[in-house]
Amino acid sequence: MVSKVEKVTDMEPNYQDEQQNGGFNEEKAFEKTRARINQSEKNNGISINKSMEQNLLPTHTNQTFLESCNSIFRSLIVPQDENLKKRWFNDENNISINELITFYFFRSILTFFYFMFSIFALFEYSITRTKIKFLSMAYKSNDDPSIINADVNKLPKIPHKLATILNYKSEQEEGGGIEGLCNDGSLVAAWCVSSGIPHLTIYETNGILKKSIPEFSDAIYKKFEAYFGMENVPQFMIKIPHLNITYYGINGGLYDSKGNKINKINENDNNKDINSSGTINIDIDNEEFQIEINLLGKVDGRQTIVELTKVMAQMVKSGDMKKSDVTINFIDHELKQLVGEEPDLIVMFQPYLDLQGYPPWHIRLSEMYWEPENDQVSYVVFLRALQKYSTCKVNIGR
Amino acid sequence: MDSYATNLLQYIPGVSILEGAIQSVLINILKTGPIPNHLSFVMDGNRRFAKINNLPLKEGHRQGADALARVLDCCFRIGVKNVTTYAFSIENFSRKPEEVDTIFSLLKVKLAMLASENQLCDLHSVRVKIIGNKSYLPEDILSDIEMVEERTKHHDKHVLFIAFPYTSRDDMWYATDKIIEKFNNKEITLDDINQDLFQNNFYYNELSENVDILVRTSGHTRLSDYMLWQCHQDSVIEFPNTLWPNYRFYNTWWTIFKWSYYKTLIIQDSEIMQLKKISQKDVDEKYKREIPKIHPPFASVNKH
Repeated sequence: MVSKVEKVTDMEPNYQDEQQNGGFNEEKAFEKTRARINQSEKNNGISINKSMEQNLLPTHTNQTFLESCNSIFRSLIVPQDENLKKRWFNDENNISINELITFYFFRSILTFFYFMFSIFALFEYSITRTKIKFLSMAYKSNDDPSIINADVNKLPKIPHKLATILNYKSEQEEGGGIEGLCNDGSLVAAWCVSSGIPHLTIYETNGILKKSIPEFSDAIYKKFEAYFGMENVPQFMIKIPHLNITYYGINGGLYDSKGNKINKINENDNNKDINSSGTINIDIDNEEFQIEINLLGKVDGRQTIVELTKVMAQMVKSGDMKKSDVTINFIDHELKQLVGEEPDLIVMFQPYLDLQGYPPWHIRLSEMYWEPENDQVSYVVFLRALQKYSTCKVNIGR
Repeated sequence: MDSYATNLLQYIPGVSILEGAIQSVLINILKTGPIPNHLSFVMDGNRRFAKINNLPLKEGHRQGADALARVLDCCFRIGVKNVTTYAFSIENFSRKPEEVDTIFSLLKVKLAMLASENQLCDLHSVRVKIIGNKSYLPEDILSDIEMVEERTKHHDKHVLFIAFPYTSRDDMWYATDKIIEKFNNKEITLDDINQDLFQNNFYYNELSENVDILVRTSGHTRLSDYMLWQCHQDSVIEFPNTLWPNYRFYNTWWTIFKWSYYKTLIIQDSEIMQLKKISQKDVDEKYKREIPKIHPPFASVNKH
């Protein structure tokens, strides 16, 4: 599919040398780690609800102009910051009038600055929003792969591995809930297939997509059908790296790695698809897949590295592995098995940059793209991310 | 062009005094709001700066070092506790040897200057700590650096971390290695291994803290193997388009100001969302009253 592949990160050759030297069984390490992660996930239960509310970063606010003005002026009168008093006054209990006057003098100037900034932010917000509106009128995908393809083919280079961070919105919102998330994911998948990107990683902090594979594959199938037509639905592969499970979407059915049918994706497909009635297995190895979709969650981040360390520590202690074998290349190899490859480009469909705990080992050289003030999964953002990527020069160290 | 005009301004008598006064007022203003704990800078764009201004490469790096002194001064005066700067990446060893030498000698000189008597370190009580894989460094530089670290060891207000030579993957590997070592020596048990332990075993050692703001100048939107663990969640990452030598007091101030604005909103917001804390005594007081029984006579259409 993608003929020109420009390789940016190249760690493989080094690793292969090492593999010949090291005589231990490195398969063991990540297998064990995988088991540990799954175990700990089971013990913790589903912790979606706890972390559902997004932790706001001090770089963006959801408040309206009036609300933020209110907050600013309220904070002038009663500052809520505990450290502030310690910083400003020598003795908290015995504040001299002089100190208090100086404090409130500067604090009121700061409040004035905050106020000016909130006006500035309001202007900036309306300008960027208008810009996005115009851009989305100019670049429209029309759900047509040929248009997307034409757009992308103007670019000198595209990423081989694309990652995207999607946000779960609450069910009350428009386009929220699991359905909304599946729809967003399938949209990005369809754009990737249209532009010829074979690897897509979808990161969702709570790992909701991983738990709703049937819904997700259904959404993908429907989206692909809408984009590419009934006769021509691309085949896809859904991977959950830390469970080591792969699902295959072929001809409207969802199969596991042994080729057994799990369920029908599309109910209406009954009469068309002959295979779906019987128990005919499909030989997965002979199939060709247009896109590989990796699903990641917060577990794949710090926790995986911690678990891997535990496993390695045990193995070193029991003598299964030499301590000198714990090298950067070894960890890199293991994490590639556990989490997947390093993406070339991370597209965020959120108004500000927030990596939300994306696996830290894997964001080394990844280009990041987000559109300020945009909170929709829209084609403009996707296209502009690719355009930005095509102008970037990656030179490691030099 | 921009920097040219500001340079010219400096020669008008009185301007630098006025500027100093403005800066100290600005700092006092910012001090009355929330202040980040840990700032981190990727000093990118020195070479491009030299190229654009037709300067020799060395001059670009020299101006970059000057910019760092300005930025540090601003941060410490505002009250930022820790600052980390990315001085040299392990990958940078693939640059031309002359350039590597230039950077090394510059760093050596600047560090010595920072740590010398009555300079920045003494002024703000700054401890200098080198984070990074020291095994890559030549002997003479290493001894110089260790001398600086030793000399500023007793300072306890601020810490200046210099990433030299550093990559985040190397950092994570170092932590892993150290934890395995400790586990082998039975200093820790398997259950002790968690994210906090990791946090304390980086090159930062026990001084480790999450980054509040990471600034990468010159407009590249990637992290280039820098502080990946520390800033992939709950950190603000900024990618200003300015080249590092042009990054000055006001840019730093503006970055911290924006952070402080949004932080104020968040603090205020969380205050509203929280239920007001009432002591048990107040609760008892409020609900001890019985349900009232006295009432006016009933008047109802239903006869009973």
